[in-house]
Amino acid sequence: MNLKNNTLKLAVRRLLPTFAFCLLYFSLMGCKALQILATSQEWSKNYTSIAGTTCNDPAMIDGNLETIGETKYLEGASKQSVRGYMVPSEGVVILPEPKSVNKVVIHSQNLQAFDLFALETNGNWKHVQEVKNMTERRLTLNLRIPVYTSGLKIRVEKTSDDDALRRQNIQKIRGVSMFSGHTKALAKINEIEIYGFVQSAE
Amino acid sequence: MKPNRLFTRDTKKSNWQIRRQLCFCWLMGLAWIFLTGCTILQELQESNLKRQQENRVRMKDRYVTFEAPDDTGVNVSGDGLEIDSTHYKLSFGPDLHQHPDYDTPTERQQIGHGSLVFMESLYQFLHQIFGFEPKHKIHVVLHDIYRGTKLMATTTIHAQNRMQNGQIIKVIQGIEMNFPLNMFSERPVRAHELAHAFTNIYLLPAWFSEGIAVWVEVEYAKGKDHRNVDLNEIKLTLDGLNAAQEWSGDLDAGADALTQWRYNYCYTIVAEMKDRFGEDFYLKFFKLMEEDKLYQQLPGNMPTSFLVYYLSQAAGEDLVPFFQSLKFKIQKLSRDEIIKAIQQANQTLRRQKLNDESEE
Repeated sequence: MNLKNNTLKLAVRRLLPTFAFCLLYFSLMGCKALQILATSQEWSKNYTSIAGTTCNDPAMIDGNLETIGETKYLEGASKQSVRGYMVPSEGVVILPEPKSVNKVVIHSQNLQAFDLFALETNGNWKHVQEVKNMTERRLTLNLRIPVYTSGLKIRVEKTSDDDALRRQNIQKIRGVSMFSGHTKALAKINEIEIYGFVQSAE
Repeated sequence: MKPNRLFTRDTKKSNWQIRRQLCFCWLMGLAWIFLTGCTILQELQESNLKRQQENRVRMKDRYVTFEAPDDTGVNVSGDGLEIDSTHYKLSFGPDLHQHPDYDTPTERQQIGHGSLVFMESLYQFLHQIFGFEPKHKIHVVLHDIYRGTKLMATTTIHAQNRMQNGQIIKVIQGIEMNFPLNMFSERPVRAHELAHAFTNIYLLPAWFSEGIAVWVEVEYAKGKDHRNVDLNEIKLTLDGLNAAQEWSGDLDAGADALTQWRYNYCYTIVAEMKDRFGEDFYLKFFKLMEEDKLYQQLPGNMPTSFLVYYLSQAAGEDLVPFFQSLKFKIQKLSRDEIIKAIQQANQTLRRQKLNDESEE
């Protein structure tokens, strides 16, 4: 009996820290982990179609591939300076609530290269992915690491209209480049679609 | 020596009991942590969500994003030359028919449709700011080059004087906005011109109309082309009056050295009044004008003295001294005096009209 008690005590003593650790772990992580475990691997509906989603050109999120929205130049730099003429443009989508994003689909007529950023909780934009050669009109970006965010931003690096715009707005006079307008064209985007996986609550 | 067995056994027993109690307490503690942990986590999640919501509103504001309108009612013609929506009619100037981006019906349909989705959401945005909306569809005309330049957009109100019960009444027939493509792509410019489309039906003095449009452009559409200036740094005319008041606002005559200052100064006055009298100051002001409908009887643009009467009503205090301190030439008027002045002006107008007709 004494031996039994001792064994029991020893077992309790050994198991107790593990048990305590597990309890703590589940108390801290439980809800989230369970939520993830409960998530099935089925694509959600397009998050940009949720009421309350906003965009700096709503034609990019109106659910209609027939309409074209345009990215907007970054404000701040003087329009009269060379730096002001070289600013890139951006397409910004703000979701009504944070979502776990696994896939972004972009339908564009002239977009060739861009950077994708996600809005962090502290208000900073985190660089998520760089796309250098978009050749098709429809691009599907499957994110290797899903981002939990309430906003996505596309910063346009290159469009197929850039060359024509540069020819129009840069003149070389005696070897000196004279700028008379923007050198990076706005991206024409028919639609931005954002997807995650279906959550059990959805 | 014999060991005190009883003592040893009791001590061991009590040790075991103490351990058991400690263990029980430890488990209870853990259970408490487990239970309260969720509450704390929930609170943390809530505060995190609140922070994210605030952040979202800040970002929405910073990047000036809009919701896609529910129903834009867009109708596109087969050739893509005429596109209609709930509040707009869009057409393309003849010089755009050869433009590489607009030379096919599909291009015109897609870009035109997208433009009206944007303009409809901008319309909702301005409707919320002003609290009223124009009664007419706004005709937007896009050009490659407008009036010989790519740097000027205009908004024109088409009005006609009609006789009604022996009084001349101004009837708005239409609103037309003209944009070169270059400027149509600038969100602050669209907001500026749409602010004119909303407010110009009241035939406001040019300085105030531009001030309101720049106020919307800067404070709501986050434009960077204009800024606040010191109200005491007044540029005077040769008569010693504020040069902003004398501004016709017509850029056809060409911009002069004071144009940029005038935009900034007029915007500063408008912003100053909103800061002094509250967020709903202009909502009240336009509501008063709309209820009064005196603007319909004006023979021309509204004189600043009339405008200051309404501004004072909305502010709840006499603003004549404020404008006089800014070297505006105005006088304090009562509503009866305004009505009398309008009647006199219209009588003169009628007489002139009769004279002209008899001469013909």
